[in-house]
Amino acid sequence: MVAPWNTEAIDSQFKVVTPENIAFNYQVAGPFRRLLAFLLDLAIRAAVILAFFIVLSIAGVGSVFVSAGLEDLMFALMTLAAFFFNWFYMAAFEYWWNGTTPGKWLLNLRVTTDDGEPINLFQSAVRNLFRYVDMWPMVPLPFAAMREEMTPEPVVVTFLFALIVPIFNQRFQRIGDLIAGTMVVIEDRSWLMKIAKIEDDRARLLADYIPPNFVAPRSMVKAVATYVERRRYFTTARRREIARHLAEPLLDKFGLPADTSYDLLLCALYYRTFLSKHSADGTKDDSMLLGDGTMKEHSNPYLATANSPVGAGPK
Amino acid sequence: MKVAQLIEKRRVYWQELENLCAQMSSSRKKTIGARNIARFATLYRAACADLALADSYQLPPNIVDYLHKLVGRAHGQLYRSRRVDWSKIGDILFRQIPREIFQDRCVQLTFWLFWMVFLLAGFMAANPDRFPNFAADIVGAENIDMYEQMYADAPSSRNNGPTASGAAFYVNHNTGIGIKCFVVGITVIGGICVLLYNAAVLGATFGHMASPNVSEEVSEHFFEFVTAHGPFELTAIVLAAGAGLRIGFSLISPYHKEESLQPDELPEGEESLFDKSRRVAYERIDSLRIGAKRALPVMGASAILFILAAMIEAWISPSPLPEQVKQIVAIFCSGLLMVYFIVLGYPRRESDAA
Repeated sequence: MVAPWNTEAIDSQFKVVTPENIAFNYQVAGPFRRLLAFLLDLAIRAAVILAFFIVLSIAGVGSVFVSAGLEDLMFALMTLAAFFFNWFYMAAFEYWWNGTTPGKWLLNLRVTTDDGEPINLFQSAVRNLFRYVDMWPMVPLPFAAMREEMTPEPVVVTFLFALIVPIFNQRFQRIGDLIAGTMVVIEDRSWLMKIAKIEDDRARLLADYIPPNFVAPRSMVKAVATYVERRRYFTTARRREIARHLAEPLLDKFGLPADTSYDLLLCALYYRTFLSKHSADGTKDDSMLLGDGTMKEHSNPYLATANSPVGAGPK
Repeated sequence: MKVAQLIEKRRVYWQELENLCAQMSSSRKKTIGARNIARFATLYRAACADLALADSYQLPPNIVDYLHKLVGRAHGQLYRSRRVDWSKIGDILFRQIPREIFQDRCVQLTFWLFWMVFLLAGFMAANPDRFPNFAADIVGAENIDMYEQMYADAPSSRNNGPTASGAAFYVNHNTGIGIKCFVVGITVIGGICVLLYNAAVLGATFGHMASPNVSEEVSEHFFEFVTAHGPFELTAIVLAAGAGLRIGFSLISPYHKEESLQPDELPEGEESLFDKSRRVAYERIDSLRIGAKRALPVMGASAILFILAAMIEAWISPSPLPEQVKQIVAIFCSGLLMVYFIVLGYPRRESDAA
């Protein structure tokens, strides 16, 4: 059975199948989050260069060089450092830091290949060399007064390509990404949400009135769960309005009085599906199997899960 | 208490995996210890299994979201970027790249274009009687004046002779131009324009310096300075433009000769026994990737040449060495390039067998 979240999504989810033959979703990063990471990287580079200059000029390290007759060497090193910072900062970090740069790391972004695999040196080099294309179209500075006595002529770097090209493909890939076959994904450090608690006792009581042979289809379970997890953000009237679409036909089906609170019914369904002793498909052994507390603290969780796929015999 | 209890039980493992992920992303592999790495692998497989069974467990969507993110994070930590195999670098540099360049139609095209325009511009600028003001039109009158002033003194007496900062400046400036030329090549027309512009300006400058308008002394200084690093630098710009054009052309015409393809690049089920040209059609995006794969090593060779040229330009060209030595350097460099491109690059039978 195809789970609902594995079907082709129209949002920015992208399915990756791991060598363990498990499919999981990556969220592809959009242009604006990446712009922020790019600006952070730019700021970091500027800060490092500034710190370099401060150390050389103010802290007197520069004068040590000069007195030692190594002024020439100092300028050479500075130029070379600028060269590598300019062209290879991103590529080097993405290669050594497994697809992240300091800016990307701060914003939880990572570069992967189209298949969700780690990138290699070739890919990191290509996708970063073609950053130059992203700056296009370059427009000459419009005011003649500002251009005077300046060689080469100053141009305005519009970065329009960096914005337009990602919009027209599914994974928000820049030109460099397209050529190298890479994409940028979000790798959030998310916190584990708990199962929503049902404080209202009436919901638990109402759960007993739901016919025991009723099995909610999976899509319905998902909808109910999404509703219950979010209902605290809604007002009472809004809850009623949203819950009505599902609750009205259900009340009809269960033969419950039509003036039952819609919100309450969905909470009851949620309680019955996730929290009550009745398992979702109505069999009791399943819940006994999963409810047993025999698992030890440092037992091998992989074996534990491998031994207890749903419906497997008791341990 | 079915699902809730299951989640409570698993939560411990998930959080342990999350902590290990954070640890692995912030510290080096060696400090984590073998035990933790083994534990990480186990927990990762367990989380994978949980995710695979999430549908059967009927976990609520927010937990499934969490699991997707957790597995994604762990996957990113487990599968690291592959290191470069440095033992192969010699083979790539001295066997694959020269052969690639020798056969590369784009490099041949840029080679002919560059030298034709260069010689033509040089010829026109060197005959100011027939083409008056040609050099000034192409290079700009101010620039020509600047060059003439620059080379009024002998190369060894200006810029305080050879310096390390000069070398660094040339590396930065010239390699930067080369990379830009390579990148612009993706638009084909832009790449050709940049190449032709460079050829015309360089040719006109050379021609002007050789023309009777310029005093003997200045032209002597100019050619003394330019001779030594010329071969490497001009070849490098041709290579960079050729590599860029390669990418541009692979976008325009997504066909690749079958014999030039790696086994893993062949599309499935596309073989045709009757196709005489033995070329394989690709989707444009895949063709672009193959083109980039071919072009990047050529660009690497070009960057190496740029750096070598910068070294010569900084250390030998402005040095007080006699002019003959610089000419010998130029001849030696040209010879090296010949050996590299023709002797190493000439297609061998053994490569067909391999």
